[in-house]
Amino acid sequence: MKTMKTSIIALFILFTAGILSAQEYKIPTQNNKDGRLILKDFSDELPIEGYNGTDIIITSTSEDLTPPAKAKGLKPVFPAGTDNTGIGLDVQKIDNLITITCLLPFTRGGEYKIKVPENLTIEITSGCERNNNISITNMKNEIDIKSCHNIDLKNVTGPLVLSTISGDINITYSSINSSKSSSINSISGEIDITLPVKTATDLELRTVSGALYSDFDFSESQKNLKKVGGNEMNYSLNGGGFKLNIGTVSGTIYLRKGN
Amino acid sequence: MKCEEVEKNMIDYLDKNLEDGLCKEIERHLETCERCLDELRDSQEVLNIISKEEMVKPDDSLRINFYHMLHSQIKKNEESSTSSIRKPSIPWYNPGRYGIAAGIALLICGTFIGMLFHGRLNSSYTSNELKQLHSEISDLKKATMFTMLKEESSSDRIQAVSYVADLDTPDENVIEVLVKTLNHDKNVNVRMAAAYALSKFAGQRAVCDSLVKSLEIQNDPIIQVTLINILMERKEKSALIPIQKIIANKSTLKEVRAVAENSLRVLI
Amino acid sequence: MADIRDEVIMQHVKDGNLSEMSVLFERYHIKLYNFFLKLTRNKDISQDLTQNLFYRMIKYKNSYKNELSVKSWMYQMARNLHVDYCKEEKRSDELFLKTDSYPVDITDENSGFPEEDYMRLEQAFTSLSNEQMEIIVLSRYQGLKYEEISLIINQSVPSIKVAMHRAIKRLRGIYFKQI
Repeated sequence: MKTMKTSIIALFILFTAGILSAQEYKIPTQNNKDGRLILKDFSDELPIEGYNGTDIIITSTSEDLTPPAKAKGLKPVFPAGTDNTGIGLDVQKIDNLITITCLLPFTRGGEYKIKVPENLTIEITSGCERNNNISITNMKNEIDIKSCHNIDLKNVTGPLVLSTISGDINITYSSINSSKSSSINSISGEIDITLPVKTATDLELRTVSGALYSDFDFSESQKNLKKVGGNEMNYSLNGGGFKLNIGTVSGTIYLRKGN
Repeated sequence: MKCEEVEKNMIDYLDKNLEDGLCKEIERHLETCERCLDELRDSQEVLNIISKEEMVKPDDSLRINFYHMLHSQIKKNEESSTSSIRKPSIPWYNPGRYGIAAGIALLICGTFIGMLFHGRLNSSYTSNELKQLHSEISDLKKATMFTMLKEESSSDRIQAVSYVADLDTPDENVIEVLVKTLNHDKNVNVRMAAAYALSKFAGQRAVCDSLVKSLEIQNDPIIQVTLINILMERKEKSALIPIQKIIANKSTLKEVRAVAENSLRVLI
Repeated sequence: MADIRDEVIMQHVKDGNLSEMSVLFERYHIKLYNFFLKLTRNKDISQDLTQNLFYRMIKYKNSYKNELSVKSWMYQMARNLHVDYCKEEKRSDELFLKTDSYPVDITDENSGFPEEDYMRLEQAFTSLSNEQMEIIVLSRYQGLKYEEISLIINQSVPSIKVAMHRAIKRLRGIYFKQI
């Protein structure tokens, strides 16, 4: 009996330890188009998932953020700001504008995951030293990213305003917000976009030394290929509509037909 | 005068809209009629409250939406009907709170002012009337420029820039805003859009000079590449010096340096 | 220097200078917005109706006749838009309870009267007929003369005056009862 009891207790401890190591912070807000979430200075991977809820939920699975027993009664101190979440983040909320700044230096990863109400606008800035690969799924509003590394967007509607230096940009649109402009730019990274086949847009494709590949039909008479200083093509797809500007310096551009 | 008559004329009396004779008759009646006096005072108070009520200001988006609609209508008007590939026309558009930036307004103002000063407008305006219209419009311009620069959404600012880029002959205020956007907007993609918009007007010496000046101060690699390309296409020799500086600068990204070195072939 | 007349500007719009509509917009959109606001008590709807009005002014610019004042033409269209809106509301089976649907705080800054006075007056307004409401709004809020109003709502000046009186009397009665 005693051994069983200890093993149950051991299991219990393990169990709770497992739960404790995923810390969570919730920010209540509203799931509407006026809302805006700004994320600053995150390092490493940053997976963001849109959902039909009203809270912004940030979880961290980093053991590093759990204070050791010796820190009991003490608060973590960050030179970059004040942690008001308990997981190394500074959250500021003014009405429906929420700014989350990661206070960790780029040498410490927070293993963050964020769930965001799908109608919010997201704006992310991370400097080049942060090795920040961003992935976002299931969002229905504007996404605005300035980073240095990879950007992966799946099941998004845009509008998208993205820039990266050496990262690759991969985008799969679910449907398109067909009224607003998008601008997607990289220096040396590749840009791979899957666009719904019926999208009516004015394409502006530019690359200096990269190549363009696509399975869309660009009829000869409409093409406006320029060769001086690189390749530039302006083309009205399906009658034209919002402006979609895609550009790289040396990276390759892939434009694929989606559903 | 009977109470009934006083009643009928009460409002005009309170508005001081009644001829003297009738006024005096009413006043004589009021001297003896308590009830009418009370009613008069009550009416006066109600009318006062109404008159003091202030107009409510509508949301910014009302103006912005109007200008978007106006822009569409103008374009529709101008478009020749011979083109077989037509953009779907959007007679209405509701972009939401911080919707389409007032670059559209700028477009309208720009077109209007441009027309005023090039005299392409109906010559039925006297020059005084033109001045007066101008000042009426420039207040509007200030309001809309301010709104435009306030736009939170990068996509909206890009949209604004693209509308402005559609102008045939933008006036100097428009160019100024584009240059400001190129040099100061917080978003790289917006600054890039401004650069391309300006490149359309680079035939003007002033615009070209602004582009060169901008190259001297930009340190974002995407903008550097954009400007170098634009200036190289125009074979703009005055860009040589800033480009050489960029090549010499140790912190320049290697892709940017490659583009810069390439451009030297064209410019030297 | 006198303002350039609305009619001159509208004529230019008719001639194809659509951009001049912006002048009329700047001159009148706040007034028209408030006109709708008084009648519908709803900011969003009022904004939609105002936008629609200017759209129509452009779309139907050719139906503007120079003999009519631009103001009269504008307000006529505004009324029509409001009437259409009311019909829509009835059709969609939504109980259009004026008393409930007033989320707007109309008291800006110091106008010398405490807020409750405005609220009380607003309550009193809800008891007016649509016609009385329109006349009060056009006359006292929009500052139009009886002659102008008669062109807009197609009634004689005397009958407008009578309606005004009845409206003020009614307002007066209800307003003071609430003390």
